Amino acid sequence: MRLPPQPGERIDRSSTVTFRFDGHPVTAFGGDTIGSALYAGGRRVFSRSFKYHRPRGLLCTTGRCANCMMTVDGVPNVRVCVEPASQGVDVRGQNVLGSVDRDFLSVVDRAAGPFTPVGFYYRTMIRPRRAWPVYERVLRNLAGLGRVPPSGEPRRYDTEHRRVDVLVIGGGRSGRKAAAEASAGDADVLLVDERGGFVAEGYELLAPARAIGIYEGGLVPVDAGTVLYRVRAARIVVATGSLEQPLVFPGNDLPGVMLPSAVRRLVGEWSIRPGEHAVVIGADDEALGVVDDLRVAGTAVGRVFDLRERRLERIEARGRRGRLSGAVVDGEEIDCDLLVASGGSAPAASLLAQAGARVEYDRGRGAFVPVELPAGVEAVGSVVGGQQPSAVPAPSYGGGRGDRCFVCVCEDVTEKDVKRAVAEGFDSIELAKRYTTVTMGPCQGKLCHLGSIRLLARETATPEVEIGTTSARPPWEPVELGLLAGRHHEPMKRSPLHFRHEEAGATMMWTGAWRRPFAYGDVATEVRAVHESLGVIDVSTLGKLVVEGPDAAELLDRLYPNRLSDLAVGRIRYGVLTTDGGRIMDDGTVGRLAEDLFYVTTTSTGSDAVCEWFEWWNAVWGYDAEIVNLTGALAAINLAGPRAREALTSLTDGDVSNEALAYLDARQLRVAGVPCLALRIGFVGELGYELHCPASAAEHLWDALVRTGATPFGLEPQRVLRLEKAHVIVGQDTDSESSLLSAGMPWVLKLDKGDFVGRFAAELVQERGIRERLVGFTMPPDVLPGEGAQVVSGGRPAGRVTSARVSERLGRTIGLAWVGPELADDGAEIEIRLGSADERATVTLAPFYDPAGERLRS
Amino acid sequence: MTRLAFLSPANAAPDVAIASPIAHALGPGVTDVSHLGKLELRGELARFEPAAGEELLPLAPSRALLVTAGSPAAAAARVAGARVRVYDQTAALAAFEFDGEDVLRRLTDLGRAQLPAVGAIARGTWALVEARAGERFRVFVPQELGHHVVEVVVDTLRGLGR
Repeated sequence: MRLPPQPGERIDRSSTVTFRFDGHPVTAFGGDTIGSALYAGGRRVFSRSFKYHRPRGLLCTTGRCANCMMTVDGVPNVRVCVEPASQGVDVRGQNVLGSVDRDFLSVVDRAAGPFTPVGFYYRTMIRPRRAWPVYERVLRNLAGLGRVPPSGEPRRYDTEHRRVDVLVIGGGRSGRKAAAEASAGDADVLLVDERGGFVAEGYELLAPARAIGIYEGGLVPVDAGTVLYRVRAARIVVATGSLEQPLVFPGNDLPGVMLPSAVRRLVGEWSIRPGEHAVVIGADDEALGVVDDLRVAGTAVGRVFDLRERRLERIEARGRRGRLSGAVVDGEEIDCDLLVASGGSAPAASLLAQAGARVEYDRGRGAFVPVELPAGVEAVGSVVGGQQPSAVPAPSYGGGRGDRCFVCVCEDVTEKDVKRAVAEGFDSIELAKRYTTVTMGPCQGKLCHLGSIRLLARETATPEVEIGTTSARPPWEPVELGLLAGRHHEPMKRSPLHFRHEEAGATMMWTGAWRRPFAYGDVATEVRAVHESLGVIDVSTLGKLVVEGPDAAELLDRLYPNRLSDLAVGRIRYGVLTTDGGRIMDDGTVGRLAEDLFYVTTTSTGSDAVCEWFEWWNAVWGYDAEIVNLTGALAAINLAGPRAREALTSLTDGDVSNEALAYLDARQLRVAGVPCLALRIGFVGELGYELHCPASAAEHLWDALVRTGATPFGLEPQRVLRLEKAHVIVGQDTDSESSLLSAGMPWVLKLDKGDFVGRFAAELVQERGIRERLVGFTMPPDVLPGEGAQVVSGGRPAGRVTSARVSERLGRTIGLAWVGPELADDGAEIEIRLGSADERATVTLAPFYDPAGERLRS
Repeated sequence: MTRLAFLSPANAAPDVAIASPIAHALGPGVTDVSHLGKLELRGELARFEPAAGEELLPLAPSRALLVTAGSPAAAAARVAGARVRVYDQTAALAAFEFDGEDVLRRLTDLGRAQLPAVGAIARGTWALVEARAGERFRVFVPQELGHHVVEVVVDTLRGLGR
């Protein structure tokens, strides 16, 4: 029932909005929340509880508890007590079968309650294992919160970064005073408040908004609905106040049992009479002061119990048809439809604890208070512990047989559950929390943290100060996952030729952070083009570094296991990098462009790591060498096939004959007018040129090469072609245990030179011998093992396949596999498991195609 | 040709079409300035003075980006030899401009007072951000991520109603 207009009310009676609740129209005043409008209209049941589907009504009206969560315009779990009523919104109850008034799932409370104690799902739903999906589905349907709509237009969420001198969290009296004082100087001050509704005096006000954590470096994420502000502040003032704590007694979750602040807001802000007949139980003046509000509202206050003056033994709320009908206090029966009960307040110190404050139990106040604050963080107001005399309430005012005393209304955790957890050995607060899920619900312990510790203290006969508190972690306030996720933008690296590939109809695939063409059409056709005519592939993703300086050669000699200081200018050598442990970390080529200038290529995913590796060692050894990552600056295009020289000749004035540009030569050329570094190398087994040019000129060069008749080929044809040559892909055919010797590259290792990274380990492997060896294998073309397939010998595991493809050219399936050294002989027979069958394969140590490399050198 | 001539798009023949890495992502409110010459300088830069039409943006104590609207080759020739090594990064970096500090705040945690500075933009992409006159900002990002970053900027502008 609405009261007559009164000073200070927040509602604007001159304006109204209409929304729908479960299909029925509800009229609200301007300034009403959905919750206040529904309460004014007579609604008392707002939700059904998480597990037992018990009716729940307004408890706090401050957006703390889960009692008023509803689905608003399809958005689940909206706390309607703080959600402004707006025109036309559609409000529905959630987690119900039927309605919030008649929820058929409340049968769980009546029938299954005794069979569903805390942790029952850990014990009773584990057999048979195959039935778990069914159990899971049933549990998820019976319990929980609202449902995320399966479809619909997602809301837009943004992130914004802010830097301020002072951030004040909380807009109560103390917070506003702190903000005003801080802004008196030149400081840039931001005050964040969950409600707002006041005038900022010299500072910026962000409201309604809620700080959800404090991270290192003064980073405070602030939830402002659809914008997540990442505020960095030099100084943080926490003025989050204190939290009223409910009492634990039988029936304490009935609609009609409220905290004093809820009553105060219903009366003072929305001019609503909260009930007709009230009983008040409080532990301090703040709580007991609600009697004056009730009298203003015209509610008859039957009895008032001051816990400071009278020690109560038992409180019981009694209900009828899911609503409060009376209270029994130490045997005294009192008719009432409103029971206002509070066990005092606890500092809302979670943000301070997250920031690194030490929080300790204060025996006098019966609450945890911050005692030491980290640098740059201050606390003002009641969050540091008020001076108001307060009684410390009992852990419970019931607990007898048949009593349902809720410690945690969000998760439906009862006093009995906590007792059971302790009896089962979960007797530390962290274990009990995880076992019972107390404090893990939507309120994140705001209304149950202290109560659960008090209960645990009693059950374990341990003082609260020794029990301590659970770790404070973000988010302090509930936050939508969409807000944390932000806008959906997947960082994607595009080659300078990306749109040429799309225009050519390539099927694109992810390779690390890159998008690359899998193939442009038929893989076999593209492979054939390279073998028989001319193919062109975009290899711009390769890492490309320049190492320049008088010490460049010496630096590379110490980084690579092979020798590079004797490399002639204009020549290229294959290089494999190993770690200190002698494990293969990357591979590529090293070209010498001048006495003091080297051009290094790496794998596509290895460029950043290799660049850092080079820079780190260069700094350690103190060489005069510059390392520059040019991966993005340069595109790279591989022109390969028997017609490659002919095509290149048609596009350049330079001499690209086999004499002038021999295999493993590097030379600058202008191709189709584009300055290029031409590397006479090949990964695909045919005559080839890798042309490295400025990224911005790559499309021009590509177009010119395609006009010569070159067929674009993608990664999949390239994988077939490289496998025909038995070329290793680092990371696919090697792993973190692979060494040069085990990978069949002893020719890379030069132990007759000075020290290099991984030398000690390489010598050790040479001395002790290898345990595995990477080998090639062939099989009939109708059999194709998957990557990772098991190699077996005598029925026992003997290795694994790393790559396998069918080669049309060779008429066989070819692949690479790790096997024991005893199987690593040319012609050895191995078996590869495919499903339940073992298929025979033959070990091959030489490349499958053109083993002498004549085509590359032609 | 110079030792690293293949790095510079300016060494291409006049008929070579030079493409921008962000051409396909541009939208209202974003100006493409990727064509600007960008030279990475390494060495003793303390006494280095950029010429008229050039800007020197610090990357690290002995590294800087020299941005020029003129010929990068001419700038490189002028700089080289002064105990400074020069690498043409013109093609390596996409560059664009937009207006609005509110847009900047949604893209990076770099504050205006810190600029020019290197930081992360659009989900962790390396960026060099520079404040221009008024509310204008210029951003350099690796060209391979330029399209992605500009998509984010255009989306951000849309979110702010621009």
